[in-house]
Amino acid sequence: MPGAALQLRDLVFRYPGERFALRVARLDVRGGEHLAITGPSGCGKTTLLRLAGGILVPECGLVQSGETLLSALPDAARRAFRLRHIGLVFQTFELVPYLDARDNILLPYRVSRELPLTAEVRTRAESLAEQAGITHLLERSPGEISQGERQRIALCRALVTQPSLILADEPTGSLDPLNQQRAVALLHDQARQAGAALIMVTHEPSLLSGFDRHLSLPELQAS
Amino acid sequence: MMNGNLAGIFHLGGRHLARQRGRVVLLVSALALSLFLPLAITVGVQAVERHLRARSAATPLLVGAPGSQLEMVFNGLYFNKPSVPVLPFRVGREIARETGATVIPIHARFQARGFRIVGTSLDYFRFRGLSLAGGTAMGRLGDCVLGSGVARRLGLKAGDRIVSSPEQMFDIAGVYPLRMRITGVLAPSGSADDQAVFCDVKTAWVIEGIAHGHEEAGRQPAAAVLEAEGTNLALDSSIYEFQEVTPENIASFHFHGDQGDFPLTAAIVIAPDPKTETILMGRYQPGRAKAWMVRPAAAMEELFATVFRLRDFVVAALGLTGACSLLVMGLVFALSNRLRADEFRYLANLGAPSGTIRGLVLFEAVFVVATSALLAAVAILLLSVALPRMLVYFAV
Repeated sequence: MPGAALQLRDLVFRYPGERFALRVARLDVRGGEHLAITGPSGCGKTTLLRLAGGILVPECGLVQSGETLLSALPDAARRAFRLRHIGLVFQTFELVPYLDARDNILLPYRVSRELPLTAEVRTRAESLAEQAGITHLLERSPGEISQGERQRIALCRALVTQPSLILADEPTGSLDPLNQQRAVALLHDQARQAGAALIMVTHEPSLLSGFDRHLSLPELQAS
Repeated sequence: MMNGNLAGIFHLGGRHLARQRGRVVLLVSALALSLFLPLAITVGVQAVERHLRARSAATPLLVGAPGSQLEMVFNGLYFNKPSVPVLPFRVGREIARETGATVIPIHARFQARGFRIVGTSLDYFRFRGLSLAGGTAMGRLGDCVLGSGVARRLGLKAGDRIVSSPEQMFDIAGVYPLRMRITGVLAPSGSADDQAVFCDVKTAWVIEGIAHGHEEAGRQPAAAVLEAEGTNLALDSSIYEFQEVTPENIASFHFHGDQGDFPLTAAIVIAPDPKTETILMGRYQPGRAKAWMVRPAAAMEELFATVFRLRDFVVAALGLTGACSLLVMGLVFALSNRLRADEFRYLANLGAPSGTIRGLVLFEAVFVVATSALLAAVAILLLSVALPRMLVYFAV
């Protein structure tokens, strides 16, 4: 599938010492497509996203993003690819506690010299913060703001590098229903504006309506 | 750190340190102190050694009463140890007469407002190369010249007066205050001379009570004379004893007894040639003669040998303490990194190069060690600049 944002083939992954193995025969995500993955707790949704992002490496099978065969790259190259091309929103947001919101958003540019921190990047970060409604929080640290606000900071961080693929791991898990809807709407809006493919793991059925496609991980494994 | 972002490491590391500033200040203080103390002791001992050695090397011979040679040197050169046994003035006179040596008396027993009064002769100023910054040298009994440090700290100048301190409040027959006229102030010399009040040795004897001036006894009622023996009269307290030497009363000042018996705490001896010096060393050999002649430099060497042994021991002990501090610091860093495990995992998940993460781990340790070393170095630098002044200030 040329130009696909993500392709998984014959994927097998097992954590060391565990019998359970995640098996995905085939998954294709088109560029700009919004895909929701659901499933019960412990079925491997987070593991699937980590494999897709190159954080984990499969025992066998292929993970390809665009033209890059991610599963064949060494760790340093996978990290560099992830930083440049994949936006990640984690379930716990994974914000650095001693940095303010602005520095958290710009974090991908602080950690690698491959991504120079230019005035354009700073402007983009300001713009994203404005769209996410968190401009007033930019000088504050994660410990000083609410869960919903942290989620929006994490989202801005995932988008600031203009990735072609956004992986969101239950980003609304700790939010109330109203904020869940707002957060997912923001995710859709930002991903569409950026033309990025979005894969979001969730077990909240009410959030599925805005997605182009919905897959259940147990069904995906069975197929 | 090849693929790490150095600017980013500094930025993130700096933010982390700013958040942990209390802990960082403690770590830096502890390590800086551990580095500073052994170095300070080494530098301090070196400075004291240089300071003491320079003065002792510039003093060829010193004669004093039998006792501690080191105390004699400290009294004769640095005006400390005022309670050294006293040497009769005649010994110096005999040495001068018999060998042609220049003998400079030193009488350093009393104080004026916390500064040592040194009774000596004008030869002392020539010998030490001391010059006047203002005023003139002492010209008569009761005059004194101040060291530069004394003048500065007490705010005194030529023409002012300074009173010797009574040594014993209840000994009315002993040392009593003498109001001395300040005739001059010495230029700074960077030595113990800056912290002394110089007067003629006869003035020191007046302070000691050996010489004094009072109303003419012959004009007093007979009842005031307690005892008469030849020209010596014992008078009661109704006779007014002068506490300041003035042109009007200077003639009334007189000595009782044989001047040869009057006390010195030491005397500097400048032999005319090495042969005379050797003869003097043999004649006044410590432990055998009634007066001891010492080479100050040699006496100080014994002190230095003891000080160096002590210094080595203290430095070794502090080195051990410093090593323990480093181990504790290592433990603190290890615990800190364990607490930061989540943060490092976040960065790795995000795609941060492993070099950046290693850089962040190192940053704190390097910062603490470098800052501590810098602080210790600056403190050592300041100490080495300040020490010579401090040694003079504290009249070492």
